[in-house]
Amino acid sequence: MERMQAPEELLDKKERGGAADLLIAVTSPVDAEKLAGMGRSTFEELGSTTSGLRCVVAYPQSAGAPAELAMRDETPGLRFEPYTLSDGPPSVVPWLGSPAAFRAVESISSAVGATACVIVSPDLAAMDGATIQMLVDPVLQGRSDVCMPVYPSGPFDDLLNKSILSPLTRSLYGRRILFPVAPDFALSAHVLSALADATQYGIAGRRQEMVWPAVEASRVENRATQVHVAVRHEAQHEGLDLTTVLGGLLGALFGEMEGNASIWQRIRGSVAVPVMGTPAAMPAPREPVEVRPLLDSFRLGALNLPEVWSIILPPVTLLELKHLTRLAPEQFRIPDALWARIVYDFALAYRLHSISRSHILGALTPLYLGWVASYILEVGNAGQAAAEARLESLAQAFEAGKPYLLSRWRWPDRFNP
Amino acid sequence: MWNQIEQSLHQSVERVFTKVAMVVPGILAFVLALLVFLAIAWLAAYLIRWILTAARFDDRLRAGTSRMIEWSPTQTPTLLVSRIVFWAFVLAGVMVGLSAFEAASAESLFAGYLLSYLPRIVGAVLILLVGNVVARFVSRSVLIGAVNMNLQYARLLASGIKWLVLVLTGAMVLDHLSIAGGIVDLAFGILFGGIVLALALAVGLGSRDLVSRSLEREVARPPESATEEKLHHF
Repeated sequence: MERMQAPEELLDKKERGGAADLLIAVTSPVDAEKLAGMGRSTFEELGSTTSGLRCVVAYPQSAGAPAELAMRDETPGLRFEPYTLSDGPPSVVPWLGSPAAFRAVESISSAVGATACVIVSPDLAAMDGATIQMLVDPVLQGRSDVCMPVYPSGPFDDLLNKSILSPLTRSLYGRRILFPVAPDFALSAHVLSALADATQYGIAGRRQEMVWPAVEASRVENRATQVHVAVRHEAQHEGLDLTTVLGGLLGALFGEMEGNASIWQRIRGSVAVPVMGTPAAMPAPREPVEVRPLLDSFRLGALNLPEVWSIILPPVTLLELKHLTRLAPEQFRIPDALWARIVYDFALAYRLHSISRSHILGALTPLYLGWVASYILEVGNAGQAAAEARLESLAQAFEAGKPYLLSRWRWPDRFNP
Repeated sequence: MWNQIEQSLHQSVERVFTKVAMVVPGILAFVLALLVFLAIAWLAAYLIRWILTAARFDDRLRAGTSRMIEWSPTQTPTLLVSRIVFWAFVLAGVMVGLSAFEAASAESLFAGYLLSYLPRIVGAVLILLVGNVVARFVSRSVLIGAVNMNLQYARLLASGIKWLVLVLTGAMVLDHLSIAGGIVDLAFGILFGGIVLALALAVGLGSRDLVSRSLEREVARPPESATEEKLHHF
């Protein structure tokens, strides 16, 4: 169990430092010196548009870090508040905070009485006045409870989000949120509290492995907003293995599905979530990508993993996958409906523990690479608009396939095509 | 002469009946003990299942980071625990039954020997079960990991690992049963060493071309990593 600050200690801090309107929090280890500099410049930018703003910047204090930033801070209205990162379960991916870090942030937020909280990625790419203002304005003005970012994303960027996370979240919870697993977002105080509770006590007895603000927004029918931000997290994928990240994120999302089953089973279709601001400049278009290595990975999976896939996928899907392996590279296409069913079947196998969960998630990687190859072959050089249209049709296929998920979820033994 | 034969046959039949009469109470005692323990086992398993269900044992395990679920994928942990309890009682019943059999019959040598050997059999069965589960789990882990690393010989690697674990398990089982201990040790050493040597020879001689091609592919991989750089999965 992580060490939480005692209420008296927090009360003392509030009396000593005063209340705050805005809490900016980093939930993963961060360069404290860099944070101090960027925190001050961000606060000055925010202060130029909002007079009398009181802001607290919370950050995890790692061992051997420089002395308390709070001691050196002299900017009126700005305070740095360190918290201890406990030995709880680690975060699923490094750029997303652990549940324990989130609970610590919530404790600070309650203690200072913040109206809104902005979580920023540890690379601090979103730590500038304009971005923070864009994210927090809808919450501070009471127009929204959750504000998610919309990053500038080229056709071949954020493919895991585009292929699974976004369409699956949209299909399940009925909200068209483009980046449901973003490292930067803004929350109102009560949503922050609800999220911290979900990580502490769980939903339906199941403790959450990750914080899902987009899901929480749908779960309690909070008002959600999206804003275009000119932020790119270039370095966050360095040194990370695709299978590890895919397994971590999807494991957390599939686990979330178990806890929220009573909610998403009632939702049909989806509604648009307003997007504010103007789209940021897109990254420079990349050269066409060679799909052969991706197809090789898919075919290697099809050759070696049929007995694992046959435990997870129904016979019809296996037949279609077998057919796909025989196609020439230029003809290779994974239909949207088939991909949606594959993702749903993996979610179901995860729920039923058909085999070890780590094996289930590991066996998805070749299929995902097959989808990426199919997507690249379809989109190619067609441009941003064509890629967006393609992804919209994928999201609609996920929605159209939801009755299949419902049937298999409710009667896994009876309904097996 | 005929009388002598008749008398001898009478004596033989009498001895057989005497033997049977001596053994029957033992068998009855064994069956009775087994039946009583079966009833207790059923009751205990039912109670355990009821208590664990009431305590939401499965949900609690899922909420935590328990690895137990990883090892019992198709059964719920509650069912697994209740079955373990059931079979533990059945096993205890067999042991008590054998003791009763031994006490009821004059010939105690066989029962005594079997009773002293029973823990070894149980241990061997457990080693076999665990070894089998571990072999399947490790083999599948290696297969999936190797496929995700784009290794062409993923299946061969997984099969090799599986058989190594199974051979090791077999040797441990035989050693535990004290069956030809020296021969098993020697045979295991020869077999295990033989597999490793065969693999080394296969790679060095038989599959030299395959290995060369595989290594060449690895060396000529930069274009593939360039592909990865052009894609941002997350």
